[in-house]
Amino acid sequence: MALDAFQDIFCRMIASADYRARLIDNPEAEFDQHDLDAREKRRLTAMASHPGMRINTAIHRANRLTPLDQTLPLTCFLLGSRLGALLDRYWHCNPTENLQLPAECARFADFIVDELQSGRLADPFVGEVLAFERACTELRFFSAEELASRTETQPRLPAKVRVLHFQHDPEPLLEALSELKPPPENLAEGDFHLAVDARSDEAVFRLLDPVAAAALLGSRNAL
Amino acid sequence: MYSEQKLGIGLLFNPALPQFLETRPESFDYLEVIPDREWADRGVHGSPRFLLLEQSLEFLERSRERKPMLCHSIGLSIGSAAIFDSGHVEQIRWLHQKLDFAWHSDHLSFSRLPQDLAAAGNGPEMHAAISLPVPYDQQVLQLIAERVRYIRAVIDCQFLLENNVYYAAIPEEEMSEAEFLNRLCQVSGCGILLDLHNLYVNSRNHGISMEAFLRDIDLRHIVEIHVAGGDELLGFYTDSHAGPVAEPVWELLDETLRAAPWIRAVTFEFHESSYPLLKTEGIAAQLARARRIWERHC
Repeated sequence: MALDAFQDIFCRMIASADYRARLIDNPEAEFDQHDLDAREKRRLTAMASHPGMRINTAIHRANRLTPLDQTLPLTCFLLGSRLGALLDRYWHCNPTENLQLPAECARFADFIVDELQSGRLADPFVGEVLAFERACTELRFFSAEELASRTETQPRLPAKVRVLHFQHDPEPLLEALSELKPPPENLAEGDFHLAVDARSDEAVFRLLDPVAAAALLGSRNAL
Repeated sequence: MYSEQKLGIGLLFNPALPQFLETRPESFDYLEVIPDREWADRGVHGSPRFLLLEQSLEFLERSRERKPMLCHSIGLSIGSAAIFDSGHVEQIRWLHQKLDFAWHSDHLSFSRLPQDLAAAGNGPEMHAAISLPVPYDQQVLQLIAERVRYIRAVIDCQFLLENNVYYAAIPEEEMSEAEFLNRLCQVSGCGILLDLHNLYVNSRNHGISMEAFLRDIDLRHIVEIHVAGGDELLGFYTDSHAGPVAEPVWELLDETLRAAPWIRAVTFEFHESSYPLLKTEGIAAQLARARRIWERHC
């Protein structure tokens, strides 16, 4: 059926301005790869040049950004002007399966971790802030049973509790970012542990001293 | 036969609304919910596929004890040529059993398709992240009618389809939008959710005649109306649900209810990011204005 090929090309034109430009320049090269009838070719040729396609693309990008902004707002703020190029690369490599928050959060977080580990992205704060927001998202969206079955759960803590390691004092760092301010200068560096306790409706955050952190990571009943 | 009871004036639920619902229950008669926001969908191969967001669902169950509820899904993608998601339909049925929706609606559009057409139905999907129009052709009519019949057989309540908004017109369609909707209702048994703001957006952007649409559509099939606002983007007017209802939409609502007083519900939609603009009194004012028009005709 040609309708599925028509919808495929329509969608790809929206997701990628480059693809749309290629189709405008040389439609037959693209059409030859698909089972399209003459009317569908005429339709797609006309739609590729329609000014409304720019709106479709703008809405597509806004809607893909929404789950990331809702789950990783501090990370997005930290990335600042680098975010646009990162999103272009992420979206090019990762057509979204759906717009569900936890799945899209996890996938983008994996992408950013890969960027950091490969050295393509360098930032002293992004890694720890990303891990914090990812943990908060998982605690918010997954049940205790679900969390308990996940391999990355800290095995000796209650499922709805995470202890996050920071290399900078997390309290002034997260406070500044949540007020849309850059990280304060001269932030204390070292080993910091922030406990996120989501066992009640409102998550509770607590900065732990090293002794308490060691005790918590060693005991299920310490909280 | 399903109940023909009128519901009145309602609100599309969003995360900014819980306090309003608690403090201003007299201002609305029912709540419309987007079921896809009540679970995390891990995709058709996820096991379990749907993870319920329990706190949100508990809130809706409490709300259901006080008000009737409608279901307005966004994940069906009924117009996708290569995908029909019976698992999504089953999940809506499950939620219907919990919340007893007066009816269920989705959009006359598509948003999901296979990443690889050759692996349709088995491989990963991609999502357009925007509700896209289907061509108003006989082939599409038959495809969607068959799916509507399936949905009606699985979910024990009335099913409506919403007229879509579009920004790039599809040329050489075999039918007008009104003709397509009329025929679809005749052959499939679905009803129409008439989104007056979508109609206004299409009129603004493409110059289509709202009067002609309302003259040509069979008003007997319209069960529910949506009203909303929008804003400008890159020279187009968009269906962003920003802030209050667009002024011309109020006039359309008055005309439509005068011509079709049997319509059962009018739903105000706004995006949660507009809550700081509207605030409690602004939402209440929109609902009160809708109610004045409703009481004039219905």
